[in-house]
Amino acid sequence: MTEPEIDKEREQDPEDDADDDDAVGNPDAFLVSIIACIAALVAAEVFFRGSLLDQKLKKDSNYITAKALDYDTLGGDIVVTGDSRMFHAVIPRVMQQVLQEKKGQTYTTYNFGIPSGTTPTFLMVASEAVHHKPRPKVFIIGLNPASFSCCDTVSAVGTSAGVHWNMVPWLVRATWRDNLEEAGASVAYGASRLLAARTELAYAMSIFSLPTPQLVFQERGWISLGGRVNPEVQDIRAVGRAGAYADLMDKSQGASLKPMVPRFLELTLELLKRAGIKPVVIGAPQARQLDYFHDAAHTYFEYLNEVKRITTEQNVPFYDLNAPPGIESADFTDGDHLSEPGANVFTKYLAAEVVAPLLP
Amino acid sequence: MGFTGYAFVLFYFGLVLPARWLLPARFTSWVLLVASVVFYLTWGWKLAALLAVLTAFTYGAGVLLRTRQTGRKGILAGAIVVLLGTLATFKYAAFFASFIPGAHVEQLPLPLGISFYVFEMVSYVVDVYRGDPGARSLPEFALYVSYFPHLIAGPIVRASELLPQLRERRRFDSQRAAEGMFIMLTGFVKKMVLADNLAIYADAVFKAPGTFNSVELVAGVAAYTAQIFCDFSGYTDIARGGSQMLGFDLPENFDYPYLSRSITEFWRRWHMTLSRWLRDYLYIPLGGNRGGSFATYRNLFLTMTLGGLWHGARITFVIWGAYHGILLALHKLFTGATPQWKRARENVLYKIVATLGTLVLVMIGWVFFRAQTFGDATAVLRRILVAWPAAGWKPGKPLELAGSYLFAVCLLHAAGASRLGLRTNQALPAAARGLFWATMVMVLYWFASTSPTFIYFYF
Repeated sequence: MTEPEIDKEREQDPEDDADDDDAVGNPDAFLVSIIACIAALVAAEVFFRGSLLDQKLKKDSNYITAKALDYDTLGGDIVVTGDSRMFHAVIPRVMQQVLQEKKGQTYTTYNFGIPSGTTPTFLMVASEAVHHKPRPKVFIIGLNPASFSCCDTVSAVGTSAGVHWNMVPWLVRATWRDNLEEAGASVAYGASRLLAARTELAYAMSIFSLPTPQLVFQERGWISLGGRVNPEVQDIRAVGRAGAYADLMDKSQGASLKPMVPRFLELTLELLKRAGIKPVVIGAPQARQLDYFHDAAHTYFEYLNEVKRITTEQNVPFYDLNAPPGIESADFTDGDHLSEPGANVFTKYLAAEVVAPLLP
Repeated sequence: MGFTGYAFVLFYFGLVLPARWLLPARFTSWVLLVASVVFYLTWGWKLAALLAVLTAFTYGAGVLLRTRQTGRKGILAGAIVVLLGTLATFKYAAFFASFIPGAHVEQLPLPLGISFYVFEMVSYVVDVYRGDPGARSLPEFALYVSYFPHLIAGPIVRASELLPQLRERRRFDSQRAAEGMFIMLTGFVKKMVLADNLAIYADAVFKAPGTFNSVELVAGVAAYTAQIFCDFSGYTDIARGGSQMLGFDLPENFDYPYLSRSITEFWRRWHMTLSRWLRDYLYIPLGGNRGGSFATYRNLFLTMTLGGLWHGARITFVIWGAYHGILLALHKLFTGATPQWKRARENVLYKIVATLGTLVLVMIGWVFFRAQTFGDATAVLRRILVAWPAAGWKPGKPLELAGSYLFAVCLLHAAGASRLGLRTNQALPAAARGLFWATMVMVLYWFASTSPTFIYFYF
């Protein structure tokens, strides 16, 4: 039956007419529906926040939340963040040994590297560090050049789950000028855990279980990628990764620096400095095959200039460790993830040359 | 400010809807006009300035057409030339210049919604020329054109449909508002859950068709077929539902067109307000079916080809329009009102075959519509015929996921065509209805993909 036919039928039915008369001009029924809808959503939110499911999803299915819980327990005098490059590159135990030798004192490190981490993620990690007691003394941010031309949203899969209400003002400050919707998204994620964890929830629902294997960190947030790989395998992998990164930075394909990325970095540094934490920015290490995009056709030099501008303005040290001493391409398992021997060398250098001078 | 963003939700539910019903009725038009201007200004002041100039021009032309006794034809022609000329300058100048050897015209950025509001302005001057009273004042006309639910991507509304409603003093109607809320939420689900998730697979297939086999390509075309319906009808639902909650009806734009049994029926059920516009302001003025069979086919072909061009300055849109023009002409040519045809149409098997056949024809058309070039489109179609899956091939995860969303679109058609959701919404007691809406919001929470824009924003 078509809609006009239904309307006709209703017109002919006196009982229906009576019902309609009751409803016309009376907002009560609509308001009751709206209140019931909001109440149901709030109840679902409250129920979820206190649930075992929420705790398990936080711990087992999302790097930011899992590491936040881990960091909350372990803490660290030095916090390292960045994407997966930093995640595998900095060994907390080695950092502690070198600093012990250099300073004669024990400084613990927590590796808060997040796979696919972006500048919004670093702001969120910085917020975790600022709210931790005791606060870290040094906070290292390792940057990936490609992230400056691609990834500037909190709404990304795996990122939104890490938003806490106390981070929202900073996330909004970073976004509202360039993307009002993104600012709104930050507020919504901060207000609703159900919304923020929606990707993890949907995934858990789709497999009728919690994701496996669970996230377990080998050592204070760090995970080893094992020993050196065959150089030929490394080369093939690195060339492939170089191409993928180059695509993200290729100006002929429209790549340019995203406006919100520098804002996120600026605010991360500002947040840390305000809390009395010493921030330091480094360019994360990479294999030489990835030098492929170090040219004017890609956004690499724009990225470098932008980072130098921000760190100079914020009076924060910047070390471009794109090619750190003692590291060669064979130390990477692919193009930009260090094997354990490579991470060992890199951490020693980082501890001695970058971190030690910042500690008392 | 897009319909599916948090800014719009806050703007609509936090400001516009309460202001509409809490302020005295004499302020309604002003509330809506200010809201519409703010809504459009969020896309940029230059776009709003162009809209303001064209609004004032069209209203002025309408006044002249209403008051002048002589030279009305010239005024009408002048107004149409200026309006369509503006559209052509922004949308087609670079396209047509590309056919002239040595000529180069820079493509101007397309003002948002121009294809829709220019068509509404053209319909306004034509209707006033034909005797419609038109708007009583410039603010009233400005509200008709810029009314934010239909401003960006329709439905294409006639002044005679909206102006009388805007003049009426309406009381809040819980039942109608609840219906509007359901329609709006359905629109969000269609767009953010179905269209945006299907887009992931469709985009991958159309980006590199050479890497997919026949089955995957057919699934990709089906995904796009479902995506464009859910995207555009989802937008329309948000527009219609939002407007209904404000107390004003906008015309329906889609009536589950993939259930059509012929291409003619498809065009009665797909983008109905554009079809109506093309019929009333192009097909009939061209002569319609008044000049014999050949003229009818020619007029159909021309109307649909120009309708294709309306979608964008690209040869594939023209081909898509021409393809539908030919299909419509063929349908007219080979079907008639003979008793045999009437009997055949009642046959269940005929209904199934006709529905599936029409869907296949429509899907072929979408390949041209979606592809960037004619070569890309033919490559997809050719590969569907030759790239059979290798022995032992199994569908991958993305295809399985796309399949599940396609299944959901089939369910949507079944439920939507029988108006199951709407009936349920209206039959439920108020509190239960609220829980029903909360469930829909939860579906959005969990399954919404994040695509900030609608396909028809680009047309």
